[in-house]
Amino acid sequence: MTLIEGMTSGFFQSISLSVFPYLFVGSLFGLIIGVIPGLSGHFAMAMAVTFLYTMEPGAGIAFLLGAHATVAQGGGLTAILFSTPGTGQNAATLLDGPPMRDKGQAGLAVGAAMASCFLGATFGAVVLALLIPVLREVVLFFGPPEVFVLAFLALTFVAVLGKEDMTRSLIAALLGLLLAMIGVDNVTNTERFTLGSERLADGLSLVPVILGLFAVAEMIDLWARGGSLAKDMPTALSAKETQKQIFKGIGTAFRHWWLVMRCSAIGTAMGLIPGLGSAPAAFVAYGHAKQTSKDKANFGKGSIEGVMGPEAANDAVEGGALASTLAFGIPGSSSMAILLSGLFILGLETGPRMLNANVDLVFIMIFTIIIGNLIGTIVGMFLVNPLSRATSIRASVMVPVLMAIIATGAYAGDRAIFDIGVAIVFGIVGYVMKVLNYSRAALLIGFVLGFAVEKNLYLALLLDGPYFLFQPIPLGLAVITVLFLGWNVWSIYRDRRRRIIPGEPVS
Amino acid sequence: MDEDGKTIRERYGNRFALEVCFLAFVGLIVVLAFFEALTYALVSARTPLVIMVPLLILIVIHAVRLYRNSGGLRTREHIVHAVTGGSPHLKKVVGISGWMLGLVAIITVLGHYAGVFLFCTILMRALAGESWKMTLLVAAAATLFIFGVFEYVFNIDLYRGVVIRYFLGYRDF
Repeated sequence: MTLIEGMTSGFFQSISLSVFPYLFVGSLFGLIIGVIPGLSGHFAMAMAVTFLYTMEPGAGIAFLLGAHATVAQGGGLTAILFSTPGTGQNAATLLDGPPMRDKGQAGLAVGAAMASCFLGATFGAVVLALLIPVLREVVLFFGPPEVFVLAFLALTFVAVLGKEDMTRSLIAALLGLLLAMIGVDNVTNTERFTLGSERLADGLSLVPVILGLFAVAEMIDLWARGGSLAKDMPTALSAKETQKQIFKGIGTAFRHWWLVMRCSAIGTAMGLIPGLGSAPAAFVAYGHAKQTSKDKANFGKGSIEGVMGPEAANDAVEGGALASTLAFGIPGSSSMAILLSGLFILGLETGPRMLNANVDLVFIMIFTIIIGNLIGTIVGMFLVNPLSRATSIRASVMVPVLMAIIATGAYAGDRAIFDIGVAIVFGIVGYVMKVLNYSRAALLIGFVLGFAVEKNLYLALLLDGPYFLFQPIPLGLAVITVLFLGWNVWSIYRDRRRRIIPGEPVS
Repeated sequence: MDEDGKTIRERYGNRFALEVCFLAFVGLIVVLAFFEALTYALVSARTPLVIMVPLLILIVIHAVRLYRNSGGLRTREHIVHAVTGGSPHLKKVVGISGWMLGLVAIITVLGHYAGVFLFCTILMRALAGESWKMTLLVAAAATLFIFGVFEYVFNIDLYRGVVIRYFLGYRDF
């Protein structure tokens, strides 16, 4: 399939009646989850994965990615209105969003944030589209030895660059790989680590593990914290005045298009690097916006540029992150690992096949990001006040309902009660990991990559023998991995006088 | 030391104790898995062993780091305090986790819909103290939502429970 054919087919599928309703529902779902503090993009995607089993690939992708695309928009809204970031990636918006609200410019900030999100996401999606021809060529150089070493490089990046402590993250990543070894070995037909259980012979199912780590763990956390999700509920904004300000804010974002594009470029570039994620991109974009602003003194006191920069970078990250996930099947973040799992569930495979035969699906993803953010912006424009009321739902009401849906979702995949148990066990483990600052993203990525790591190691040894590591690309990637890890270990030893604080990052 | 300082130290102490228990648990599982892997054929054991050797080294390194930084933190006291119910936060976490496992048991016996309804009712009424009106309304709405989405829209049959299956004539549960 040529790129033009793929693009045309992807666009018409995205707006067709068999896909668009799923995209709309997914976007709305993501927006609501984003608004609610404590529920992240991972939660939205984890919940969305449970509904994929009966969907067609196009509809499933639109639903899953639509839910992910609008989370940051909802989170930005909460950060501005309630001084509580709806998701971690909106933390940088806290610096100037709430001061703008205090100056009576809440609508202006919300409008600018939502439009910046849309522009940032569109930028990232266009870059992804432009990268496809390049990726089609590059991916041909990646056989089993290259993919095997690349998986370790990605895991190292995720473990080292993540916000958690490096040792804890590496432990989590290796644990994830080990968990993927549970089940029958495809080569020798030997049962491994199954404890004699027939249920474990096929390995741990992806959906209950994802639901446990990112949905059940959040539910336990919300229940333990209790109370309302947003602590300080400001009085509702005057609808007419807010609407006026929102439109003005959208206009402001378009007028500052050059700043928005630059920050989007930062986000997209950082998205290409596994492990960095949206939050650091947003802070780097904030720093850039401040550095290049004519009115530096206003930053931190309610500068609209300080809202637009991070929000644009936030959403632009996805375009870059999708590139490595789709081309090599190597996810750089937990969201991408969940997306990859979703693709497996829908019966799709990444790599050359995805970029050639199924390039229309890649374009569905691209148009989903753009249309999803457009839906988020339009809904956000008109429904700021009703959306903001979602934050007043008490944890004691929300947790039982969401837990019931999560349990049903865990069951739905293989129609197995055992999987509900798996989700709960991983929920408890995920909660402990969250409290102790062990990277859940690294564990999930390790788990998702485990099968590919073993298969590619086996094939590499079969094709090239034990010296496959000395081929140019694997050797180059292995050297980068070792140097990167070594440099970080050395940095830690350099700072070894620092004492570690339990549950806190060391470096 | 002022009250805030004591609270922070208490919190760090609790986290430290939790991490010691978590790391010990993970370490034990990995050691058992390591010996289990040694009994497999080389091709099957190769990848797990390649993963577990660095994993065990990292666990030991982290344990040493924890030990070196444990000065003044009375880990055993924190564990005893938590196990004897001295930590309200832990009690909440254990409570919700226990009821989640209870949900699995209820679903197995009474089926999915009864399980969901009872789970919502118990959590909202007995544990969170919500009003009966709110509890029953939300529990019924959640059950109906699950029926509508999973059975009606996605055509997924949810589990009917051992009791109903028995009366329907099934003997394989």
